[in-house]
Amino acid sequence: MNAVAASLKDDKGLAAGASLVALFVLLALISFVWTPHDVAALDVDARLAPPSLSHWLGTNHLGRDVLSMIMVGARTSIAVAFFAVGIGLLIGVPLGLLAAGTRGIVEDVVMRLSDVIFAFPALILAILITAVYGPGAINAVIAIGIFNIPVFARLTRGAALPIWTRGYVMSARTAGKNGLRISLEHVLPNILPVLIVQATVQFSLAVLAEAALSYVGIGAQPPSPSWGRMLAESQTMVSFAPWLAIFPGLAIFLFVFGLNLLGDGFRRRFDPHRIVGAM
Amino acid sequence: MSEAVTIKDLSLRIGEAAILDGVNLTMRAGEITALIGRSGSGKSMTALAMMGLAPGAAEISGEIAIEGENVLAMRERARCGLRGRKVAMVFQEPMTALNPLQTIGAQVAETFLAHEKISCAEAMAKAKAALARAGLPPEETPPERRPNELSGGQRQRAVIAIAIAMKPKVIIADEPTTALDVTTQAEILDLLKTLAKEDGSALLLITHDLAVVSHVADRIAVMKDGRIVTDESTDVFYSAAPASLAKEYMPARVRRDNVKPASQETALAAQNMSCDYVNARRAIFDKPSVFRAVKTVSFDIQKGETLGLVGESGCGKSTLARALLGLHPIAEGSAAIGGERFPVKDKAAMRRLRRKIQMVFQDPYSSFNPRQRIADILAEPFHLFDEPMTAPQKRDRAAALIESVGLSTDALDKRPHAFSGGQRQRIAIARALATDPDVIVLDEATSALDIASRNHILELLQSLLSARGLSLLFITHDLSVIRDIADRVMVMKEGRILESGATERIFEAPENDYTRRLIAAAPMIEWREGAGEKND
Repeated sequence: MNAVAASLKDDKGLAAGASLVALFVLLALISFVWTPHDVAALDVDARLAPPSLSHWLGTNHLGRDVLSMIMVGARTSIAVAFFAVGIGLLIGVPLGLLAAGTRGIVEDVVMRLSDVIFAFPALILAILITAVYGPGAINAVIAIGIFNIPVFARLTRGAALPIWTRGYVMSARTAGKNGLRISLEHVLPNILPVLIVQATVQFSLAVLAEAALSYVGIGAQPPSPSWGRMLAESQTMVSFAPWLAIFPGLAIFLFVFGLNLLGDGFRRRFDPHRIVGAM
Repeated sequence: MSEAVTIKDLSLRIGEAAILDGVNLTMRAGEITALIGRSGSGKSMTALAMMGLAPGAAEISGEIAIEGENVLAMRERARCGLRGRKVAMVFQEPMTALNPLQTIGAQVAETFLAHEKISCAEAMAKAKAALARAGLPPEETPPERRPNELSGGQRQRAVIAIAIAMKPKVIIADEPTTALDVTTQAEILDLLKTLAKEDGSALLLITHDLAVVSHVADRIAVMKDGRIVTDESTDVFYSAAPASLAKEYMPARVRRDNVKPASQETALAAQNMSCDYVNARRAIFDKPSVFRAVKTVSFDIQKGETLGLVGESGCGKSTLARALLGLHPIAEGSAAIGGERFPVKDKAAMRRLRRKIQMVFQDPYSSFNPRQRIADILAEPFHLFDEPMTAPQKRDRAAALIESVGLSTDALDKRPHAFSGGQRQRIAIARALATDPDVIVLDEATSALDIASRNHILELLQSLLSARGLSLLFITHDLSVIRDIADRVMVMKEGRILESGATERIFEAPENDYTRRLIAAAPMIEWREGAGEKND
């Protein structure tokens, strides 16, 4: 824990990123037990109310409290991004390790499959999934998750290949260890820093992707609030109720900004040139 | 001879660490000075300071006068004018010293363009002349070539052409031959010597290997802990070198006291072994081309015997080693360890074979997983034993192993970065001993070490050999190492064994031309009575 505290103190960017991300995670967690107003409640008397003491960030055209919606929306964003990156990691990393460990035909198949997924437009796939299974947060997770798989598969393979030529892997092979054990004991721990950095970056991209999917109406469905749909709904009212667009937009911006700062901070922290003495 | 460089009381510190501590050194025009020292002794920092390239955080005091001008007092602009024109440098690794995107001609011409007001065409013409002087005549090696189209030796010649372009007063060569083969090494040193004499440049040869420079240098300065401890003419140095210096900077003569018992038990045998390398495909659907790296090789090693395998890089010696360890497929033929033939499909048999043969790798910095502790590293091969071991058993055995290579058991809880190159190579040997093997393959195991550590490792191997009845396959490009440790020597070129025989026979009466060339090129110190014996 001391090392974490020390690196937060040393690196202002990392500290700022961590605080912003922590703020949104905290908001999402608090929303489970408390929100300023019931997020589903329609306060008909206070429709389109500007920010005030009772509604800090105002209300929308149905009289729903914007702050409450942003807090609950953070839940959606974080959950979708978390599971989408999780799918990428859980499937992509093993595939990448497999490709690097076996080479030959398996590697070809894995890498060419990755190329195919990369070549397929993400939005089209999302629309396809929605058309078949209907819109919803889970389908957004699957659509975004699928596009995270080749990212991690390629990164893992690329980082693992040079490890496979290191002396310690050779030595593990002379000790009769099989590819699976070498991948888990030697390769994975040594490429973990790269994966952590990339996972943070992918997390921020997934937050943006979720917002985009919700914006076009194929993400989380009403009444569960989401930042992207809040933006979409505000569109026609932005001239007389700008807070409807400003606050969800700001939430997306700050959260993604925080994640990127965090990713850059991790990158500096895990710099291979600095890591040697730090362990 | 006039004085080209005078270094007076040069001290340099970075933070708390004193890197240089009152260095005094004078180099005269046309004279070749060898600066010898172990890694970290401050020799490279001295060179950087002379170029005015010491790191920004360094605090420097003292004086470096190049033809009377103090480099340390100069402004950066003046130093730029100095670099390349009066002081030039030849680096260790020619591949990284050259820009891969530019032709070598352009890179030499750059120096002229930086220091003279001439046209590009004139600069190119001069570049051609400089390359020709460095042994790359345009009719053989067109200056339009890029670094990747050249061999290691040719690249180093290109780097030298850049260095001598302006006929500088001082040429600094920092380990210029460490990355090269023996035969190339001798040529490059001769070239540097000739060029320095022709241009009347003072040449500073930095190295950790005294043998490399003994024939070339006029003077030898030894550096230790940031100080020059000895500075003598080469003749005086050899006749008067104190024993401690000889031990640290000269290849040890490990005395093989044991005339081997005529054990006729074969530990390792290879029969008509061939190995292929599959080249990377040029495009997705291309058929990969196959390169035969090892061509029908047969040999055997007796129990307790050390066989030296010598060859230049790319001759197939590492592929052969990997094949013997089952790390590379054997395309044709077979090998046998203790009479058991492989390759075999049977997994249990493979495990048994793996136990009997282990390997020590060249690079002590990449042969350990940086995230594991030494205890875990040493315990890794234990899983080849048929009966699983408990944690305390593993620990005990790891402790015994680490002590057998002369390190204390404190080492077990540390991670690899806590150890020096020589210590790491000891740990690598301990790991190779973990399964109590019959054969250990050492692939250039001492090449990355400085002379003192190399001597210690050779001594350790010698003592292990007599204690355990091990057989060694010692792979190297360095004949001076082989001569001291091997009972028999095999010479390999382009995948074939050219010649093999008892070490003395090979060195005294080589039958093959290539072997003769290798031996002639190898740097050997002329051992004077007494000087070489002191370190035994």
